[in-house]
Amino acid sequence: MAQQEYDADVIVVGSGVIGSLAAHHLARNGKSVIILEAGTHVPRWKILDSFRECGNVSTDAGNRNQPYPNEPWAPSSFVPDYITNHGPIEYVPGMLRMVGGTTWHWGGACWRLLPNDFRLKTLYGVGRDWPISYDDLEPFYHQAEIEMGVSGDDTADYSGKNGAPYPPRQAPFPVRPQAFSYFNQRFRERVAVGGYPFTYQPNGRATDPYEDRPACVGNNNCSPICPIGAQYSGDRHATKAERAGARLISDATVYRLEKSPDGKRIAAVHYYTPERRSIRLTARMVLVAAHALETPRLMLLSDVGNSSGMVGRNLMDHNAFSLMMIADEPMWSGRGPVQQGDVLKWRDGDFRRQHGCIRHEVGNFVGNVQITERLIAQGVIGPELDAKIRHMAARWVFMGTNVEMLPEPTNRMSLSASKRDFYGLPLMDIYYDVNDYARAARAVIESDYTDFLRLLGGEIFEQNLSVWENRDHPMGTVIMGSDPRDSVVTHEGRSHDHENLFIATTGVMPAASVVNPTLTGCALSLRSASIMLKEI
Amino acid sequence: MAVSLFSAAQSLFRARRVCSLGLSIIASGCIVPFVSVAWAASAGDSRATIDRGAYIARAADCVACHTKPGGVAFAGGYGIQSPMGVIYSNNITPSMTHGIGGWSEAAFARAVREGVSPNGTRLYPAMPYDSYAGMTDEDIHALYVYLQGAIAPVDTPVGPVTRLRFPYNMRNLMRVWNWLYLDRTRFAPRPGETVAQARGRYLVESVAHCGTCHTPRNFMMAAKAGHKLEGAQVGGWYAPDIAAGTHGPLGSWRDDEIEAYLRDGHARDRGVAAGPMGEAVEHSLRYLTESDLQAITAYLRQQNRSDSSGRPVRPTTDPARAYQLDSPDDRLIRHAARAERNATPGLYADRRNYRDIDGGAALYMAACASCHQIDGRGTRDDFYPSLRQSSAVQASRPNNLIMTILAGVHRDGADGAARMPAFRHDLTDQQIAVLVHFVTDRFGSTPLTPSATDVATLRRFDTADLPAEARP
Repeated sequence: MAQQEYDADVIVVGSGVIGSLAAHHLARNGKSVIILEAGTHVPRWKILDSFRECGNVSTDAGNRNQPYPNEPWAPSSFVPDYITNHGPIEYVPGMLRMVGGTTWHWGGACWRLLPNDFRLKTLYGVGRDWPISYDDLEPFYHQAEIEMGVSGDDTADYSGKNGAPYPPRQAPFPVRPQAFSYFNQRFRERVAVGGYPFTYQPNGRATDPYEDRPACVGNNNCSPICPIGAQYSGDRHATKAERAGARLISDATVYRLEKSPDGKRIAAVHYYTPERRSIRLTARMVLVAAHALETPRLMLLSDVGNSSGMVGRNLMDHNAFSLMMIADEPMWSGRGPVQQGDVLKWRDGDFRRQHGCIRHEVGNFVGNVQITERLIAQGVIGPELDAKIRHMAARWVFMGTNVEMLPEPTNRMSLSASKRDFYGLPLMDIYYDVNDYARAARAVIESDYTDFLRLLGGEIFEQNLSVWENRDHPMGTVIMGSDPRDSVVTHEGRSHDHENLFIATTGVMPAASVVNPTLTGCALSLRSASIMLKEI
Repeated sequence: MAVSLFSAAQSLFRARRVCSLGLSIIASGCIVPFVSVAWAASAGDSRATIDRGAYIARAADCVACHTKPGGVAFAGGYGIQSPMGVIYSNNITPSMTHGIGGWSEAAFARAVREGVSPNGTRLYPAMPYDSYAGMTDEDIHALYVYLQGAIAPVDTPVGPVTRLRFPYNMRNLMRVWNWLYLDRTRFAPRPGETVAQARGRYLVESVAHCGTCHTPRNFMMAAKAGHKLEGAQVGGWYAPDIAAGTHGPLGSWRDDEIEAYLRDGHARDRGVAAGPMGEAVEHSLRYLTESDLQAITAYLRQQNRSDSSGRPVRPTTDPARAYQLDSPDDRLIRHAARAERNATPGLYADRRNYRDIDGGAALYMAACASCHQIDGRGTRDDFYPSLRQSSAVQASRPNNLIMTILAGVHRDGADGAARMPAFRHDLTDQQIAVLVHFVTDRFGSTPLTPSATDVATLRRFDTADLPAEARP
């Protein structure tokens, strides 16, 4: 190749956890890196201050994006028209556009997939197999866990079978598990009687001080903002990448990936400043880590990487239902972090031939807002209102269920024909439906809910078994596969069409499984970064 | 109040380890040699001698300066910043080629106590040999046996070479310095001292070299005669007067509080060790025996001041430790924050611009109160220390409060780790100045009003976050 000057070895589009981990790894190993971030940088205290001023957003009903920057050139996801739904199921995931990305307001779950999740087609005849195995990804799960300070239970069988520790790991979790709160202890004891295993949720909250992060003290405020920074957020590695020499440019909305004349490479990355000035940067390699929806949007805007026609398709989430109950004893939910454990009874098994696997996540929330609203609506007032709030809040149990989806090309994000962004570029349309495979899990969930109500002596506060909720776990939109005719990226995360274009987002995952996808996205990103490192 | 930079400039040889980035690496790395079995101890050296040497190495905190960030313990290469250039520490592993493997015990003793290498090269007193000069022959022997016999040789160069600018590059000038200032008297108990007081004097003055930071220096960087342990600036930090006699500033501290502070790095309602003192706790003091901590305390009790030096006598404990969610103090501060917000509502509603927010109560509520609590009383277990009794808040200088806000706290003590986030990227100089005023006004005895320029001045000493290539 002719001598050519580049602005950087690698341009990383997106400063969320997935992009920042890769940027940090590359910069630390001596590569010149530019990170382009559409949003701005805001410190934790400012977000906390905003949170306290915008009402109760910590429950699922609230808009968790509220305390965060929401620039016209980098809108967060609940801005009207940002996403227009055309399908039977409303799909708008919570998503932030700022340095550090959406892990500013997550619950910190850091799951590994199970080996069987990588072989769904082979084992159960449904969905797609991954082009790589669990063993291929394990070293990068390990690396991501160390970077993020993941806490987990080394004795837990995360396949939900109450067996030996599983899945296999090369080393123990870097951070020990946090003690279960009283609520979670009681929950575990009461459901165990009915044969439901309850396991500690691996998470990115520091149980002990980790690097510069203080230990979690249970503010129960993980989302929308951990007030003390005990919970991992992507800004940690954005800052670490900068310290390692990467250049982070914020308020830089990438709008075009420019192809080389022969179409085989990405020649340049174009971004707009808020003043609508366009800037062109070049790099040997480009890593797009711009979220599972904005990444395919950028590719479609640029007509890049879409020879398969799969860009934007195969959108998956962990849509499911929820149950809120008033148990027969004070449980004291709301002490400790917002999520600590899950019921994994339906995590894996031959049933996956018939229906998606199921994870019941137990939410350690304070129920006072919903309880009070309900009671007032019922006309309860005065001392009786106080007494009932106290009674019900003490016994509040919240469960949010997740179900495995399969990749369906008809579930897709596409460019809007009418809605435009700040720069006049098309916004997103989404068509989304839950397929029969996921729907078949409903009967199992209903039966489980009946069991949980019985085991906890519960009275239904609200049970949703009809409207499919989404869990903000978008996957599949830039799907990974070995066949360039039906997938967007290779097992390396490299575009089938452009040799120097890598994609790192949970959107590359070809199987959804049933656990929060962040850690898998991070491991895939670190794996791509290790491959890029060898080639630069 | 202006932050004094004059004494800051004097911190030449005491700005030890202001960089904290690599501390955790050092902390974990330095444990290995001490717990592993003897490397090549000769038959004549008993296990007891090696253990004693290891303990002396801890007490003298050799590892802190003789290990570079991420490097092998005792292999040197750590850059000690000074206004005259960076002074790099030597490899003190028993390497024959790059360390002290070829040194005789007499040569070793001369280097440690007199600052002269076997080849005649003069050391700079960044190596506190003026303190170590008092070390006993027995301890020098044990230290020698330990370093020669119980740690692995590292046969690699330390890396950068110390090159100070003229005239400081003339190492022979140190002959004059030694002639003027080096007290070659070996430690010996004095009549009238208790055993504990004598041991404490030995530890404070010689081995643990407390005076390196806490005793003010003259223009030649030598300890000022007659001002022992009276307090001095160390980089941006201020190492306070640690006299614990009747009129000393630590006079109101109980013995167990002084000992807990040294061992754990914090004492409830007294203060926390941060910055260089946090490092001293992490690398050295937390490993000392109870009897040595008691000895240090006994010696500090002997340090008296003629009067209270105008220092306010503060209440020993806060009777109003309510720990209720809506205490009167809580309400006052919340109302103050509300008033600030109401004065410029648009500024606070802006999700992006945080740099122009300058309400002290609002900043305190957002950046500090989640841990230190709205009323500043911290938590009952001292996991989050009270600001109301904190020595950094009660001090007459804002240095340590400003430096703590900038650099955070990153310290491992005997009872566990303490982490306070660094706000160096998250708060402007003006915001830190406003916060220091708010905190000292509400929780301290004397409101301090540093300017943004004062904060900017101290920020220059906060070097932990420089890009790798810019670090020493």
